Amino acid sequence: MDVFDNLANGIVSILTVQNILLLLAGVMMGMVVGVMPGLGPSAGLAILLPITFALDPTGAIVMLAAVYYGAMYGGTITSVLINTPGESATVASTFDGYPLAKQGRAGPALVMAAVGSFVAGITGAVLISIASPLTASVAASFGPPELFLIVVLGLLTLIVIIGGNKLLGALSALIGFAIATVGIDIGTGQQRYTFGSVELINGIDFIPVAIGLFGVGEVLHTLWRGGHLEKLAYFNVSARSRGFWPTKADYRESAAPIARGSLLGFFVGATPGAGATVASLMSYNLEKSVSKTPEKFGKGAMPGLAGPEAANNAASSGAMVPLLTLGIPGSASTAVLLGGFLLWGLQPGPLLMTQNPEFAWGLIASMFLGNIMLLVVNIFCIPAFASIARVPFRVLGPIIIVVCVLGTFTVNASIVEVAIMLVCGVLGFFMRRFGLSPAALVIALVLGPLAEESLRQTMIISGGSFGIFLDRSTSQVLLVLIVVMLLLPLLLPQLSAMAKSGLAQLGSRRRAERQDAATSVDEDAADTPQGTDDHARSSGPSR
Amino acid sequence: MPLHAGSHLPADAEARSHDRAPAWRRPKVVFLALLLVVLAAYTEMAFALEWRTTAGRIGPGFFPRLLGVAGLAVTLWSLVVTLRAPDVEDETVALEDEVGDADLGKHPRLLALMVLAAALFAATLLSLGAIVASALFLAGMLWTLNRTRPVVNVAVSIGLPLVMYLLFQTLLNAGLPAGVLPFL
Repeated sequence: MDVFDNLANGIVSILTVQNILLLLAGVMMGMVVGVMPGLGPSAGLAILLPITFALDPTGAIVMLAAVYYGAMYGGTITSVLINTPGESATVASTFDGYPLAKQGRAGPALVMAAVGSFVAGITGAVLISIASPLTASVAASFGPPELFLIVVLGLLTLIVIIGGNKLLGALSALIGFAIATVGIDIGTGQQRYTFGSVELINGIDFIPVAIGLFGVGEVLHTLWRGGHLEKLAYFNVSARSRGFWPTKADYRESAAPIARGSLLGFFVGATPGAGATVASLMSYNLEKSVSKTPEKFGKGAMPGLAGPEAANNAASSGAMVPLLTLGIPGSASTAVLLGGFLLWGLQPGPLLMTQNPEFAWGLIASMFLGNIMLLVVNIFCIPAFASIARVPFRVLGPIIIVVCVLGTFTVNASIVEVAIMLVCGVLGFFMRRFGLSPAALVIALVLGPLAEESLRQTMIISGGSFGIFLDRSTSQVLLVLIVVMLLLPLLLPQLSAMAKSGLAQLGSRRRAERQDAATSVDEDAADTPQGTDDHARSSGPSR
Repeated sequence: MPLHAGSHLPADAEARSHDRAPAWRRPKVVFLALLLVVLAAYTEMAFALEWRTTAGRIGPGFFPRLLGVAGLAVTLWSLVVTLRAPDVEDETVALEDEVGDADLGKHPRLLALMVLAAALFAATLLSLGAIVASALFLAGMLWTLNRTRPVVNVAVSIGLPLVMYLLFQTLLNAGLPAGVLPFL
């Protein structure tokens, strides 16, 4: 019952006019960030971070979290209307979303995606409410050795699961750690890599790095790929038009994919590195595999849109669990959120829920309110957000650069940080170009000081012996997990093949059942014609 | 064309991978080689820092040395892998390039122009001020990218800097340089 009490207290703590307005502003800005192609939630969060400096910590974090999950909703609009995902997590939504729009069903597709996102968002918030206190209670027993191993495990998971070249993922994380060593060494007070610059004594702040890598880097990459030449062919959508709302059949055939996507997305999202993109692609493949009509996928199947949409939103909730309870960000967006927490003097981790319960539970409570707001905003403001999606990149690109430069400058009024941001922008372009991971770099940059500090404390406790990692039972478990994670790339192909064959068997069984049912309908129709309608409605395809 | 999980390189991308410069002159190899030099310098400086303090605790060079050596090893390994099989390494990037429909070509000159303009923007931010520097940057880039819509370009070049200044300076009380506009 503690959960309900804490949640009620959290809702009370954020129910101020200012917080509600900030929540609304956050979801609206998140939607705008989501619909802008080339500007993902991590870039949006990094760029908007300076705007929150004038706010109190709870209001600021509530707003930033709203931007985060608002962007997940917004990304769908461009996926459906212009076949261009607003961010990578909504790539799977283009597969069936755009074909639905081509069939003149853009309205039902967007409403169904919003409903799926809402259900997933609320499911995610409920699961966070249950999982966070449990994880925090386990993590409360962690000492410096465990914290160090958790950081290593988190980054390792990120590198193994993130996809692409794992070697380059590891290199990205090492670059992030290296950047984190700039500044004064906490243990000895000695300067490292400052080259005599006063501005570098406090180290390289993660904000200019994040804005550069995600904001400027994305703009440069899109420009290099000819984004300025893109002619957007989009579908109009109006809430007043006939056929805007989904049919009962749409709701019926989307219910199970939304439920599956919500659970799958949450647990995948809670795994560092997996994130919303992996969750949505997994959900799409899952729905196609278990569908009775897999041939409709890619041609405008509502479950092919609803499932991934639910999964990517649930994943954004799931990613909050390791962030809030362990202080480990599992994605680039949560790394920026972690940076925001630290800026406000809040250290996410096992102690957050006991030392700042009103803040932690206020944030979780805001997710319930934010998702309700997003559902309403999403459905009734779809045409308005769709019009933002029509701003071409050739206008948007320079605007984003200006926002990045001015936003970075306002943090510390430092032109050196603006220069660092631009250099990171160029670095971000090359990292994307050559398959390195900007997300791994930013996460390592944020976690670098924590890793160094916890290792230093561990060595002090053990008198300089690494044997301490083998002496403590929790450390041993974490070491085993690290070994498993190292072996995972070798086992993944076999595991993947097993999962695929299992799903294929399930799908073929369901299709066989459907054929049997259809055969029995035909037989019934021959015997009793008046019973056909009811039977067909319950067993046949919905559309 | 959407990117499906587990899809393969399209035929045109495969064709693109042939008929290229020798492996050692490829951009990725040059990038990794530069990274190797930077990490070598980082590691060299790390070895100038203490590994352990006189009290026997971890010194300021402990972590940087580990990172430097690991970074050098991973970069070197990546470089060798890229040199031995450059086309295989390009697959992920090529697949990512396929998301978002048509091949609109590559525009390195425009990219360089944007980087140069952004650098000039940052360099003149303090002297010209946020509004003037932003307006000049926007006017220049929009004139280059969006030449057919001069009215939109002028409106954005003047309007956006003013809105940004009002937002940061007036609403959020975050300082932006006034520069050559002393009345601000």
